[in-house]
Amino acid sequence: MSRKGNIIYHISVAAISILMEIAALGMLKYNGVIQNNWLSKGIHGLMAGVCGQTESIKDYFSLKKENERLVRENYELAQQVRRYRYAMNTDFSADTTVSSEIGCYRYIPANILKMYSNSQHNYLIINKGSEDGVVIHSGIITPNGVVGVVDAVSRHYSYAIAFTNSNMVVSARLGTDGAVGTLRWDGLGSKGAILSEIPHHIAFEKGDTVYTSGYSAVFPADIPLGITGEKRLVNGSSYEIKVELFEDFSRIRHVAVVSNTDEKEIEELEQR
Amino acid sequence: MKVVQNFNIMYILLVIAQLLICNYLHLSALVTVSILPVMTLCLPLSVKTIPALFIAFFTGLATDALADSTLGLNIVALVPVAITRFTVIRLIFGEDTINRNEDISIKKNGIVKISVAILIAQAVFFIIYIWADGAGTRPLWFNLARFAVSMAASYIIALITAHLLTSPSK
Repeated sequence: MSRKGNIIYHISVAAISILMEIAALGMLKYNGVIQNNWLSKGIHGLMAGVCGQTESIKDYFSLKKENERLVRENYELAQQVRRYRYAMNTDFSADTTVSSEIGCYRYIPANILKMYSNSQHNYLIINKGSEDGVVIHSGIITPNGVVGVVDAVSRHYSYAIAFTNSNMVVSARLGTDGAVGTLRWDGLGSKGAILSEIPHHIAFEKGDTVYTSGYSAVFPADIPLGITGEKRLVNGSSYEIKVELFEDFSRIRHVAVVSNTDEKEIEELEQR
Repeated sequence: MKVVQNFNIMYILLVIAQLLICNYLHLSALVTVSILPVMTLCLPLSVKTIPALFIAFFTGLATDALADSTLGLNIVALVPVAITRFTVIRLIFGEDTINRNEDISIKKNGIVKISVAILIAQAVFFIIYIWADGAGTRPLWFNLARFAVSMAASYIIALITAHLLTSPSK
C-alpha cells in the first residue's frame, strides 16, 4: 500500500472506530439509567470544557476591542471625576453629562503611535491632530502623571516633547497645598524625576505625593505625579528631591490631550 | 474455502455460547465471563482492521440485544479490542506473522504467546466493560476485584475458545 493510501486507510479506521464508539455510547445512554446519568455528566463536563475554551479563545481575540472600550470608559470616568472636583471648587450646579470640557480645560482621548525613549531628547507622536482640536502647547496626561507637551500639529497627528526629555520641566507641588517647585526627568530611567527649588524650611516626609501645581497654562492642577524619595540640599537654600513617578513611560499607550481654552486670553494679558 | 466456512460456523456457535453464558451463568456480581475479546483476537489475519471493526460491532450488538445486558455495553468494550488487534499481534507474534498473513494458533505459536495476547485483549475489554458498567457508581476496589476475577475466570474459557477458532483442522 502506498504511503498516501496508508494514511487514508488509517484515517478511515480512526473515523469508523470513533463512529462505532459514539453509536455504542448512544445505545448505552438510552438503555441504561445509570449510564445515562454518567454519560450525561461526562458530556456536560466535556461541553463545559469546550465552551470554556472557546470562550477563552473568543475573549482573547476580542481583547483589542474590549481594551478600546475600557479606555473610552476610563476616559469618561476620569472626565466625571475632574468635573466633580471642579464643581466642588466652584459655585455652579454640576452637569453630570460627560463633556470634553471641564472648567477652562478641554480633554481629548488619544493613543500614542510612536514613542522615542532612547536618548536625552525623547519625543512622541499621537493619533490626534488639529482636526480633532489639538493645538500647540497642549499637555498630554494620563491619570498617573504628565507625559509631554505638544510641539507641532498636523491635521491628524501631533508631535510632542516627552517628559523624558531633558529640556522639559513641569510645575509641581508637594502635596495638594505644599511648596511649588519644578519637576524634570532625572535622565536615567523611565520612572525617575527630580523635584527642585523647594525652599529648605519646608517640611515634608519621604513618600509624600507630588502633584501638578496648575501654575502653568499647560497642565491642570492636582494630577498626581509621583512620590518623594531622597532629598539633597543645594547651595544651602533649596532642596532637590528624588521623585519616583507613578507612570511608567515604557508602558504608556492611551493618553488624554489637555488644552487650556483660556490660553490666548492669558497670553494677551501677559503681553500688556 | 472449507476452512473459512468452518471458522464462520464456529464463530456463530461461540456467539451463541456467549449468549448462554450471559443469560444463564450468573456466578457472582464480581464475575463476568466473556469470550468475545478472544474471538475478535482470533479472527483470521486476512480480515483487516475495518472488517474486524464491523464484525466486533455486530457481535457486540447481537450479544447485547439477545443477552441480559445493557445495549451498547459489549460494543463499547469490544470495538477497542478490534482496533488494537493488529498491534497486539505485532507485539507478541512479530511483524512477519502479519506480513505472511499467518493465522495464529496455540500449536504453532505456543501457549505462552497466545496467553499473553489473550490477556492483553481481555484486559482492554474488561477495563472498558467494568468502567462503563459501573458508570462511576461502584468503588475502585470493587472494580479492581471484578477485573481480576473476570480476567481469571475468562482466561480458561478463552484458551479453549482460541483452540477451537485457530485449530488448523478448522
